Amino acid sequence: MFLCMMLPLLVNILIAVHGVAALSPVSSRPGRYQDFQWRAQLCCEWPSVGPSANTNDASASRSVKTTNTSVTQIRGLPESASYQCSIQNFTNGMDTSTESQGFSAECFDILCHLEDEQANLICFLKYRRAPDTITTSTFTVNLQQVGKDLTLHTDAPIHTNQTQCSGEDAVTCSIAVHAAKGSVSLLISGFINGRSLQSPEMHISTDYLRKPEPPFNLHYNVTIEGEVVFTWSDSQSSRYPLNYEIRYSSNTSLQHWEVVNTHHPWVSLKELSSGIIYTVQVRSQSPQHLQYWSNWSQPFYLTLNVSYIPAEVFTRPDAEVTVYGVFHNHSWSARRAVWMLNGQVIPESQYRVVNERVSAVTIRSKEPGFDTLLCCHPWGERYKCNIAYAKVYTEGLFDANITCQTDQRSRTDSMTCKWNKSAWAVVRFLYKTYNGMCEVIPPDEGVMTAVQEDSMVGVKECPDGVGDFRECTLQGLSLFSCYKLWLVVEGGHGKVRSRPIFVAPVDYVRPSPPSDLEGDTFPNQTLSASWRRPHLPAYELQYELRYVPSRRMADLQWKVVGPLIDTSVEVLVEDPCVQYEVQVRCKRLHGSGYWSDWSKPHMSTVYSTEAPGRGPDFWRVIQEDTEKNHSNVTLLFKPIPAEGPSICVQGLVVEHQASGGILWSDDMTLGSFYTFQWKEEVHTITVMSYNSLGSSVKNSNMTLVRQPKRRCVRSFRAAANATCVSLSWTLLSDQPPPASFVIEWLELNGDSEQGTGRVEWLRVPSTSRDVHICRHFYGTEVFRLYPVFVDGEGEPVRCSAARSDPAAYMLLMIIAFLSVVLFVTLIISQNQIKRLMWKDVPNPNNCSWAKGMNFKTMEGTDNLFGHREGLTACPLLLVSESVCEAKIVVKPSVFAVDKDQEKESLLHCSVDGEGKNTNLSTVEGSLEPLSMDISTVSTTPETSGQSSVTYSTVLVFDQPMLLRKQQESLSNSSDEGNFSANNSDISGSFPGGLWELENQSCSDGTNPRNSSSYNSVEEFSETSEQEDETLESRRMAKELYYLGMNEEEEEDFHGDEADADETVLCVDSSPELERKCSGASDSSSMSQISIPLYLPQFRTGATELLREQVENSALHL
Amino acid sequence: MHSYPALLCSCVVSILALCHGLPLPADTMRNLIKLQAENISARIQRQRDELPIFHNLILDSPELLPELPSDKPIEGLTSVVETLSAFQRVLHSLPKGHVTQLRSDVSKLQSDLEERMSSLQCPHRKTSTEKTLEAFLKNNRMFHITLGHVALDRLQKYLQRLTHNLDKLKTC
Repeated sequence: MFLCMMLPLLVNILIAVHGVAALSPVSSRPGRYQDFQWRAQLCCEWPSVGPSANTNDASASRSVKTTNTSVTQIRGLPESASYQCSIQNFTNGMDTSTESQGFSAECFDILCHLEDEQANLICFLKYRRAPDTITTSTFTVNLQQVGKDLTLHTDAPIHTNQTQCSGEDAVTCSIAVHAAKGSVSLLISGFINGRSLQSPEMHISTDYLRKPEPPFNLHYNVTIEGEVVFTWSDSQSSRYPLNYEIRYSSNTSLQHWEVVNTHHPWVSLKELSSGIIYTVQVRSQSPQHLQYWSNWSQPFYLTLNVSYIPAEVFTRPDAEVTVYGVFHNHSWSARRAVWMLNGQVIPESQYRVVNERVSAVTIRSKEPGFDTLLCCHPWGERYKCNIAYAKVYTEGLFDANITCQTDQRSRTDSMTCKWNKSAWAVVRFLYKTYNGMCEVIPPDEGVMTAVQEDSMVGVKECPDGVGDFRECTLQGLSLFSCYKLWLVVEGGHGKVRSRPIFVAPVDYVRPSPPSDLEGDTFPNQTLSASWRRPHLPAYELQYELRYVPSRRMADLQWKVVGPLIDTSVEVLVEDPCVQYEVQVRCKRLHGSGYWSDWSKPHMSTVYSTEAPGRGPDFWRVIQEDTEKNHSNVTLLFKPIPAEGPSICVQGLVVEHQASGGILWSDDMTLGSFYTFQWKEEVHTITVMSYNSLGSSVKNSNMTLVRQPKRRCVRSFRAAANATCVSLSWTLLSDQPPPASFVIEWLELNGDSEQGTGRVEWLRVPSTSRDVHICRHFYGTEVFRLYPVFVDGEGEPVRCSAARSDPAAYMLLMIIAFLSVVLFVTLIISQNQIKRLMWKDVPNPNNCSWAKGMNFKTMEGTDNLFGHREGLTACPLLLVSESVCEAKIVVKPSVFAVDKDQEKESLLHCSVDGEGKNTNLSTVEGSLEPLSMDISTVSTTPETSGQSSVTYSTVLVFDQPMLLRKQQESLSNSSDEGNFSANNSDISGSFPGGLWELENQSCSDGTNPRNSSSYNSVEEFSETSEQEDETLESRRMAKELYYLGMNEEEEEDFHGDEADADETVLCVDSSPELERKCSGASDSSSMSQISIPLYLPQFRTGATELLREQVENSALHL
Repeated sequence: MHSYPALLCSCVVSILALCHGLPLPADTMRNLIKLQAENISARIQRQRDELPIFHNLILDSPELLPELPSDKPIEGLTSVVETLSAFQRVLHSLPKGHVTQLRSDVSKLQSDLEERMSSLQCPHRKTSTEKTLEAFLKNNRMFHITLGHVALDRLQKYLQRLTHNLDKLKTC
C-alpha cells in the first residue's frame, strides 16, 4: 500500500519538475530544425479516468514529460474538461507512443519558417482529422516574440509583440521578428467537439531559421611588415563559428576569381599588385547548414598604393609620433621615400627604413592642431604621392586667430567671423551665447579643456556646418550678448580645438558709411563738407574726411582730415577754383569698432564772387576732308590767366556764327580739345569762359575764310642754335598790318622721321618782327607764320630751322672712338711684338761675338744699342729675297757658370742653302730633326713662294752676370715658347728639333726641360712676362740690332769652338756683321747653310763691340 | 462672325505658348555653356592658386577615379551630362566649403545640358560605373584634400576641352 502510494507521488514529482523545466525557454526546444524550417507535431488526448488524475487534484497544472515531448495542462481549466497535449517531433505519421498509452489523440502538424527577407515568422498549423470522423473544431495560434531586455541587464525574457490567428482545420499565422536574437513562443488553443485543448508553450529559435547573411563592413589593414589583412564583420552574432569564403578579382569583367576559404573573419591577401582595382567579396556558411552559403557580400573595391600605419594618430604637444608608410608598389623603394608634413618635405634624418617597402618617420608636434603625413617617392624634380595620407591630431587648444566683424546694414544684425586653419583640416565652428557682457563671464569658461564635453550644452554650430570654411556668418545676432567662439577639428573627437574667444558683437561693428555728403569750394580757399551719420549703431561716432583735386594727377595723394566729431568740417585748400573729390567715413567714438567704408565720392561745387572777365586765347588746326567736302577744325586753347582767387572758370562756351547768320554754341570743360566741322564759306568762332555767375566779356574770336588769303609777309627767316630758334620776319609795306601773328610748329617729341606730333602755337603781337623760341628741337623743324587779321587769316609763310644732324655728331664720335681704339691696338701689338722678340735674345755671354767683352765695364745699355727709341716695325717686314743666317757657336763651357767663358760666343751667318744639312750635320751630332725642320720650312708657301727673309736682333745687356743667371732660368722656357708660338709646324712635327738643338748648345744640356715642351703657351707667356719684369726691374737698357745681309753677301759664320751653335737669320746685311761673319767663316769651314730658317730673330750683344757695327746696318733696315 | 476674334485670340495664345516653350537658339546655348564652363574653370583655378601646397606633388594617377579619366574626350551631350553627373557625385563627397559654390555651378551647367538633351530628344543613359565610383568615394572620402585636388584638376581640364569642342553639343 505504501509503495502504491509512493510510486504515483514520485511520478508526479518527476512530472512536476519536468513540467517546470519545460516552461523555461532554454529547455523548451521542442520540434525539429531542418532546412531553415521548424517542424513539430502536437497531439492532444482526452484522458480516461486513471490514478494519475486523482493524485494531482491540488495541482493547478501538470506537465507530463515523455521522450522528447512535453505535456501541459493549463491552469484554471477543469481537469476533466481539457485535452492533454504533448509535442512530438515531426513525423509523417502518428506517433505510436501515444497510442500505446491508450489515448484517443488529436494531432496537429506545425511548420514555421522565416519569410520576407527573414523579417517575418510564418507558422502553419494543420489539424490531422481522423478519417471517417465528424468533428467540429476551432483553433487559435498565438505567436509572441520573446527577447531580452538589454536595459535591465538580466537574462529574463520579455514578451514584446504578439499575434493571434484563428481557423478551423488549418491556421496560418505570421509575426514580425524585429530582433536578430531571441525566439518566438507558440501557443495553440482551441476546441474539438466542444472540448478545449491547450498546447504547451513552444519556443522557436529564429537563429536556426535564418540563412546566414553575407558579411559586411569589409575593410583591410596593413601590418608594419607590409602584409595586407582583409577583415569583415559577421552579421550574425552566432554562438558557433562560421565558415567563410573570400573571392577577389582584378578583372573588371569579374570573369576570373581567386577564392580563399577560412574559418575566421580575416584573411591575409598576398600577391596583390598595386594600382589595380580589386573587387573583393565574402560569404559565410553556418556549420548547421553546411549545404547553404550566404549570399556574397557587397563588393569591396580594393586598391593598394600607399598605406599608413596608423592611419590616424592622436598625440600631445612635444610627444613623438612614428608613422609607417607601406609602399605596395614594388618599384618604389622605401630607401628613397620622402615624407611630407602638410605638403612640406620632412628632413631625411627623421626617416627610418623598416624594410624594402616600409618606411617610418618620427615627428614631434609642437603645438596642438591637425597635421597630415604623406609618404611619397621622388619623381624627377617633384614627388609622386598617393591621395591617401596619415592624419595626426595633436590634442589641445590651438590659436585660430578668430576675428569678427558685426554688420548692421541689413535688416538683421549679422556677425562674420574669420579664422586661420590648416588647409588640410575640416573644422566645425561652434559658438555659445552668454547673457551679459563678456567682462562678467567667469574665467573658467575660457579655460576649455579638451575633455570638457559637458559644456556643450547650449552650443550651436555655424549654419554652414562642417567643412573647410574659413569664415562663418551668424545671423539673428544679439548685439549686446557675449559670444564664445571656437573651432573643433573634425575627426579629432573633440580633443583638438581652438582657444575660445569671447566677443560682444557691439564692440566689432563696422558701421555704414555716412550719407548725404556735400562739399563746396569757396573763394576764400575753403573746402566745406557736411554729411549725415548712419542710424546704426546708436553710439557716438567719429569721422574722417579725405579729399583730392578732381583732375587727379599722378603725384596727387588723398589728404585726410580727422578725427572729426561733428558732421561738418571746413578745410583750407590750395586752389579754390578746383573741384575736389570728397569722401568721409565713420567709427565708434568711445570704444572698439571698425572704420566704415568710405562714402561714395562727392565732387565739390566751386563758388566764385564774380564771372570771369576774359575768355581763353585759342588757335585752330584745320584738316581738310576732300571726300566729304568739309574741314575738321580743332581748337587749341591757351590756359586762362588767373584773374584772382575769387574768380574761377568752370568751363568754356564756344559760339559759332556761320555765313548764313546761323548761331549756336557748345559747352566744354577745361583742358580738353574741341573739334567741329567747317562747311561754310565764312565761320566765326568765339570762345568764352564761364562760371556759376556768368560768362566772360572779353573774348577771343577767329574768322575762318575759304577765300584767297592776302599776302603781307615779305620774308620769314629762322636761325637755330643749340637750344633756341630765332624767328624774324618782315612785312610788305603796301599791306595793312595784321592784328596779330601766330607761329605754328609741330612738336615732334623726338620722333622726327614719322612727322607726327603735337601742334604748338604762339601768338605774337602785330608790332613784333622777331621771336625767340627756346625748347628742345630735333633736326629740321618747320615754322609757319600766320598773319591774323580781324576778318580772317593772311597767307602763311614758312621756313625751316635746320640744325646739324645729331647723327653726324654721333658718326664723328664713333670715328674718333674707333681711331683711338686702333691707335691703342697698334701700341699694344707693337709692345707685344717687342715682348716676343725679347724672348729670342740669347745671352750675349754665350755668343762668340761677345767674346772678350767686359760687360761689367760697360756703362749701360745705351752705349751698346743705338736705337734708343726701341724697336721699329720695319725689320718685321719681309722686304727682299735676301736671306741671311747668322749662327752663333758657343762653347760648351759657356753654359757653365764661369763668367769669362760666357763671352766666347761666335756669330755665324750663312746663306748657303745647299750646304745646310752638311753644315749642321757637321756641327751637330744629330741632324735628323734639323733636316726635317728644313724641309718643313722650305715647303711652306711663305718660304717657297715668298722671300725667305729672316732677321735677328742683337740685344746688349749691361749686366751680363745678372742676365746670365736669368737666362739660365728662363732660356729654356722662353726658347720653347718662342719656338712654339712662331712655328707651330715645327713644334708639332718633331720635338727635339732645331731649338732643342740650340738649347742643348746654348744652355745647360743637363736641364731636363730641354725636351719637356715646345708648345707650352702658358709657360711662354708667363716666362716672357717674367722676363720683361725682371729686365725692367733691373733697368737694363737694351738695344736692338737687326742683322741683315744681301744674297750676294751671305756668308757663314763659324765660331772658333764648334761645340755649340746658335743660328740667327738676318734680314739685311750689315757691314760689321758681314765682316764678322766673314772672319768667322774663315776660321771655320764647317757650315754652308742652304735654306734660311726661322731662328732667333734677335740676340744680345756687347755694347761697345757692337754699337759701331750696328749703327750703320740698322739704317739699312 | 463673332468666332473670328476668338479664333484669332486662340491662335495668338498658341503661338505665344509655343514660342515660350522653344529652346534657346543654338548660339545662345553655346555661349551660355561656354560661359559657365569658363566660370567653373576659373573658380577652380583660383582655388588651386590659393592652395599652393601641391605644386611639387604629383597626386594624379590612372588608377584614381577611372570613371573620370583626365583625358576623357568630349563625345556628345549624353556623355557630357553623364560625366558631369559623376563629377557632381565626387563634389558632393567632399566637405562643404570651397566646393559648395562649385556644386551649384556644375549643377546649373548640368541642368542646362539636360534641357538641351531634352530638346534634341537624346536618350538618358544609366551610368555603369556608378557603383565603383561610390565605392571609391566611400573608401577615399576621408582624404578629401587630395581627392578634391585630383577631381577638381580633372574637372577643370574636362571643361576646358568642352569649351573647345562646343560643336559636340549639337549631337547626342
